[in-house]
Amino acid sequence: MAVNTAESVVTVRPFVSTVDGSDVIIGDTDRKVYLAIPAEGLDILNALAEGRTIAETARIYERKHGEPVDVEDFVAVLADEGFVTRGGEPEAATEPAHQHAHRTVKRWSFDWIPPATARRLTGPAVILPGLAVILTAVALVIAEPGLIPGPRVLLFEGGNFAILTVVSVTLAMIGLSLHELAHALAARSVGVSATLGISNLMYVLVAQTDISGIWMASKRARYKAFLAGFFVDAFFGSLLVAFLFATRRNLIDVPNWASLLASAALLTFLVRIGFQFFFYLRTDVYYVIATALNCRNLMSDTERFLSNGIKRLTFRRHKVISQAGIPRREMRKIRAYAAVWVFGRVFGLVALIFTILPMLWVYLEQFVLLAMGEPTRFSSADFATVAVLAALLNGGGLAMWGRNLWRGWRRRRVEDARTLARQAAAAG
Amino acid sequence: MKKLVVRKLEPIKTSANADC
Repeated sequence: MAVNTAESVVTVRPFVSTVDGSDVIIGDTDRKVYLAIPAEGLDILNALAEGRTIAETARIYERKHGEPVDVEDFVAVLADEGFVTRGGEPEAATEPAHQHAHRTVKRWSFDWIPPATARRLTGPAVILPGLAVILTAVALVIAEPGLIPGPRVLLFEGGNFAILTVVSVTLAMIGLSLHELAHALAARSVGVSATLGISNLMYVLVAQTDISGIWMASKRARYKAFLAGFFVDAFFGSLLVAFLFATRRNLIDVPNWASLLASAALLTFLVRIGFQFFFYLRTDVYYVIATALNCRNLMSDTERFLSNGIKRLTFRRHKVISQAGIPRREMRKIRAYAAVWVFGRVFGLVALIFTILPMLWVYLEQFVLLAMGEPTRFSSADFATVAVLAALLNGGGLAMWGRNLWRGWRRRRVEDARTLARQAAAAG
Repeated sequence: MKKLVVRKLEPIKTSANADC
């Protein structure tokens, strides 16, 4: 680690900033890294950007605020996050540097969508009629609770199982794209960059839109971006409810496969809405809660709190990463969320061990038999369809989970070592 | 000497499950 001497000058990379309560949020929009710093930190950053030395900057601060400040430590932290580069050091990396190491396969950008178009599509002219449709569907379901499909609809009784399964999975993929497009449009409406990728939440394969730049927008805009996915799921689900209501009351006459498919599609919309409530993962509801609680990084701070607890219990106190910088009120929320985190992980693992793995085992066994040239259930088109889909979607989620756990662990080790070195330097 | 607290904000990535 290069040492800043008091007389050294640093290069401040371009950044954006916005006031957020008593803090200032600074962001590197290219790398999608955002930091909260005290408001006076922005003065320091601006002085450094003007080419003043670290010592000069510290003197300016002391004259203005009447107390000395550790500019060198501040610069060291900002350098680690890639906001400043020190003399004689190579330029900071330009790849996105999320501490979560949650790599995605590939990312597609939504940034070609002009903010004005996104504003129109997410404005009251769309939201109000949409809400009317949703409320109508709620009224229909209250009048006729039988409209809500159970898991049996996925058996497509009386229809061609293999074909209807493939079509309904295709519809589910379209639904999931619309859900993510809604988040992206809400972000674009306030000029924030949005990129789509494929990732995982625990072992669940997900389509994921990175709208980290929404930190620079108002809280209201953040809530809107988080709730946009719910809105489209509820809207298209409502259209299906209306369609099913009309067929049940014989208002319209449609072939059997159409109502089978509509029921299955409605179920996928409902499952997608339900999934967002698993807020022990970074789901839409999680982000709403974290924003309402004014937490800066509820998930990572909680994971650090838990790992510090384990280190203390196993006599590795010297490895504890200080959380002294987190305000006490926020720390209380982190402790409460830690219970949710643990309970949720246990619940997720139980579901994995008792439902998902046994199902995958059945399919895997048949794949092995097929490879060995033994007779298998693959002679049935129905079985083959479901086996391939389950292996792709659930197997893909599991594989990505394993890979990201490993990468996250390795990256955390490097980051923790760096943080511990800085803690030791600051204490020494 | 006063220390300035720098806090990294969490990545915001909205997800939709593909396994339904």
